[in-house]
Amino acid sequence: MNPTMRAPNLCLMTLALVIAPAYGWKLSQGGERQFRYIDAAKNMIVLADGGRSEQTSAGTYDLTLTGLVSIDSLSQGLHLTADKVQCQTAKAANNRMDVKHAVATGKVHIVKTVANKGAKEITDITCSKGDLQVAATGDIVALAGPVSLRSESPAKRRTLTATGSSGTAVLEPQAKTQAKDGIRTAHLAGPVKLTLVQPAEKPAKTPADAKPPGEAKVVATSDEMDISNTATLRTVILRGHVKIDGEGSSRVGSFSGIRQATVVLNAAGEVISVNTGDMN
Amino acid sequence: MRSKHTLLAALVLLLAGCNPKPGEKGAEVKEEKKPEALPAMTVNLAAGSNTHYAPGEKRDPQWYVSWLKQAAVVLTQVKEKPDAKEKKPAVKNEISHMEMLGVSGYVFDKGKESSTYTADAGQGDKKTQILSLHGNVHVISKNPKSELFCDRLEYDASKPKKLIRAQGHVRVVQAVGTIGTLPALWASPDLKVVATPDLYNLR
Repeated sequence: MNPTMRAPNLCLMTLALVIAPAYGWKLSQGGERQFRYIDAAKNMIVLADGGRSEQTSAGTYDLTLTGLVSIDSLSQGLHLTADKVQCQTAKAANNRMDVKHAVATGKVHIVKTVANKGAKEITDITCSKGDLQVAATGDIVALAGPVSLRSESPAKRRTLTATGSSGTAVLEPQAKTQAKDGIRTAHLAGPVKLTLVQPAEKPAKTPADAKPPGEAKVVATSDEMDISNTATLRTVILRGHVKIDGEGSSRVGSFSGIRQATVVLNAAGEVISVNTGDMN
Repeated sequence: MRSKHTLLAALVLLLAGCNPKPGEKGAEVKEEKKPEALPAMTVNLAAGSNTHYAPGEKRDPQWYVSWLKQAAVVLTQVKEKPDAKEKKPAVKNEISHMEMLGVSGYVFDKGKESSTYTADAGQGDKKTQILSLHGNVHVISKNPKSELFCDRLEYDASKPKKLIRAQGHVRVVQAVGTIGTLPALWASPDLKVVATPDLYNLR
């Protein structure tokens, strides 16, 4: 055997012999993530590079979490990731732990998934600072920094995406809900950009060789925006320097120079009307 | 056999505790004269127990340890220079270090029993004021109800804010959840606060 061929193999073998047990030891010691918490009901899972837990009273904890923080609460349909999170938990039924209050900073990503009779509604929020206060009337999230708010209904192929500089949102508190949207209400301060995407309405009679209609898109910009999904008809109110453009197969035309506009959506999340207020 | 061991343990502890208490006549003399260190003496014991106290006048209890199998107790003898009245030099015996097998006991915090523990082996050191536990370490706190499991543990009683430093496969099982398994975790004596070492002293 050529001795020059043997040297690299020996090097690799030595390296493997050193690295493999070290990696195995690291995994056995708790893996890459330093801090991990799971409640007795396996409902809440917390992962972070560093963590501190202090029991404040029976069953409640103050958690300080740093470095690639991830919090999942299945009963609340909540998935939160951030660079740093200060979190208070509350003891719920059946040894379950819920998030009561969380202040997240740095690359904050909140995903709230609610299910109504099996149909999932996903709310996806990104910002640089988020303050989540859980209450029976809804989870109140104060958002700061560049904010992106996305509401998605995969079954209905409908999405609402809004961006702004700051805002607040009230989300459905539980994973299982009678509501048809994860967002109850939301307010975004500008400059706001709203994009509504929904599948095109099928015409009553379609020729056999006709191309399928493309998706309908409504793009709007304004100084501020309010979303309300609490009534049967949902509304998106845009205020200040409103500009609206219907794209694709959307039947909404183009509007500009409007002080206020109200986009009305039906229960399926389809745009049924755009009402404009005063001109600028 | 057991009574023999107990008698031996009692003798060692009696020797360790025979130094005068602060405020007594001997203690006044001690401050003026430099003690002369004698060679340490190791005593091997079978089953026994010991309470470790903080140095100084207050002598707060720091930990209680009971060992089932055997213990090596290092006694440091300090000979004090005789004063004008006493012709013979006084000899003071102190437990400076203990190595024990099959340990259990409890740690004190602010003078009160805080958590109980068991481990395969333990070491207590007077100078560092650290109780080290090794192998199948299990700490139980009653209030709040919490349990800590790890490979190695140090109970550091040297500072007013006492601290548990756990290492190796650390797991804390609380009433409503589990933290771990982690390579290292620090905790308060009652396990109320548990944290990765970088975040323990955050507040």
